[in-house]
Amino acid sequence: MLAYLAKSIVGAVVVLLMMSLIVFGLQSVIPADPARAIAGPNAPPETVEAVRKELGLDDPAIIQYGRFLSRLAHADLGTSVRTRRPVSDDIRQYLPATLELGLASIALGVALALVMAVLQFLIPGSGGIRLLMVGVGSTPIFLSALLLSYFFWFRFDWLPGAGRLGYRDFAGPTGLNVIDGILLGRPEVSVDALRHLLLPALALALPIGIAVGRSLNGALHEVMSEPYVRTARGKGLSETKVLLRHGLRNAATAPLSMLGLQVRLLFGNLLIVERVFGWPGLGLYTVQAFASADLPAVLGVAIVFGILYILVNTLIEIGQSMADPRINL
Amino acid sequence: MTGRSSRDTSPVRPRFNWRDFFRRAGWLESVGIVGLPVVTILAALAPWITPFDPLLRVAAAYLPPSTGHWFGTDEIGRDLFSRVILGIQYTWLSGLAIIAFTLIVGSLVGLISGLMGGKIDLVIGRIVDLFIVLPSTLIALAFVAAVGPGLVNTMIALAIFWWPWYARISRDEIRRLKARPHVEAARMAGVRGPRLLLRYLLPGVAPALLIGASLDVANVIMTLSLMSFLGLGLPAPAPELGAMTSRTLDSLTVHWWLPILPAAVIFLLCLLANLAGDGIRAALRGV
Repeated sequence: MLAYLAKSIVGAVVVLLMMSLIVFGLQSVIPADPARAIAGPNAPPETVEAVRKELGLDDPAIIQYGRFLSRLAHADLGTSVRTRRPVSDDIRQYLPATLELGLASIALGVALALVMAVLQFLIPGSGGIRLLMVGVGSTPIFLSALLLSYFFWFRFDWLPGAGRLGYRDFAGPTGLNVIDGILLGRPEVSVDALRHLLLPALALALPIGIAVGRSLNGALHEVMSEPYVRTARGKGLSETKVLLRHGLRNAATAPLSMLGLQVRLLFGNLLIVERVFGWPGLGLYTVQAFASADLPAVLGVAIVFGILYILVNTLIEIGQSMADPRINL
Repeated sequence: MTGRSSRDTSPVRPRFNWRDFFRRAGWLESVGIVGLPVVTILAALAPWITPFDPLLRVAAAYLPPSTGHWFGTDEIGRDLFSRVILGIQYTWLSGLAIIAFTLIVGSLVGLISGLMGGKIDLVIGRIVDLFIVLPSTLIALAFVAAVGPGLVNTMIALAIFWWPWYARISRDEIRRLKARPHVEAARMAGVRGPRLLLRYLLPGVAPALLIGASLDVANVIMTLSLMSFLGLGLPAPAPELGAMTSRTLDSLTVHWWLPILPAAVIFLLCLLANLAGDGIRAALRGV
């Protein structure tokens, strides 16, 4: 376990360094001259030169990269061009909303996958479920978000179609409204937060559920023809019990890998869904940053999402080894 | 066995049977397989088959879908159907171009890695792994945001992160094939170099790559339309499917066809591609 931890930390650091190198490279791609921007358009060349020296823009790239890394280590992601605030402050403000949405959609996605895979296993050869899965799997995220919003908010008016909470000025310790509502003894806030959460989380959960469900279904078919499953059946266990006790656990490895892949796509989809539902999180923040060419904000979010991605993947690997002790961490 | 000299050690392959291929693919999936070339031809001919000029005002604004204008008209009276057809061209053809390019680059890298083995294989393997664990969509988005929006930049960004998958597929297949008896027999018979590669290894690698690529078409289309939705594709007057949806997002409750129909067309393209991918996999692998 210790060796695994060391290995995964080293791996995570390598990926993070790689990402920081890419972000650093992208920063220096921008055509605008930061020294000229700070000195002002009419400043004499000597002033621009002085600013350039002060900013260290004349130093060799490796030294500039070192400075960039030390700023990153101090959570200094630069200043947003659009909000004129430090990017790290902006991220701190919008991160909880995105965490809440992301976690909810992963949970919902896994639940969907389980239901679909088990249904498909118990009702074999169901062409309907197969077609449904290919169909939902082919739906671009903005179409499912739009359709959910159009029907469940605009047409039927069952659920709110925009924003995160109907209560103004509610702020809790964790920033996750559903949990804060319970913590502060205001269940009505939690219920309202859940109602706001449902549509965007469902839009994000559909592709996760389909992909993981398909993979789980394939794995189940393989596992359920293994000798130990035959033994379990021979013991007289009911088919449902065999499926729950022996099937799902042993089939978990491949679908968990698929979940990791889907989480990578989730970051892109978050941007779209937060834009469609006006969800005030990092995704919407990034979309607005694109619109105003706010590169520090985009790159800052990319780094934060990268860290989250590495965290999730490490958790998934641990989950895989727990489900199947043969996988040696 | 007529015409085969006794020194010819190439494996005997049965003639390809189309009817058998479609039977194994399944009827619904066969629709997808036939649909792929049809859509490609339509996309290539797009500028000549649009009923109206996609860039000019041809009717009143905000006309709902009707027999005259199948998809209705947009905020300045342009025919939405014509715009969508042209949008299919951008999305579909650039998607295919990305697949073709990354397929060639990736499988070449994989072939070199798999054939050389040793240190070269190790180094290439590490680089491929690193590319695969990076959150690629995110970096591609950041890349386009940094170098500026545009179709070419979007395609470059996607291509940079797409080739490693093909490198991995072809490398693993080559390693697997190298140990197979027919390759060993060919080697012992003195076949080597390009002939070994072209006649004995490539035919074995090709199905896996073809399956991977066909299942990937929908992914590329989806990612391309995602980037276009975020405003990173072609600039305003050009009809890109994702951008058409995002620009008219706020009129969903008033003029539903403006955001929904272009998105629905992306859905159809992806559905077709996914069905074709499933069918090709089923037919070639027999699952």
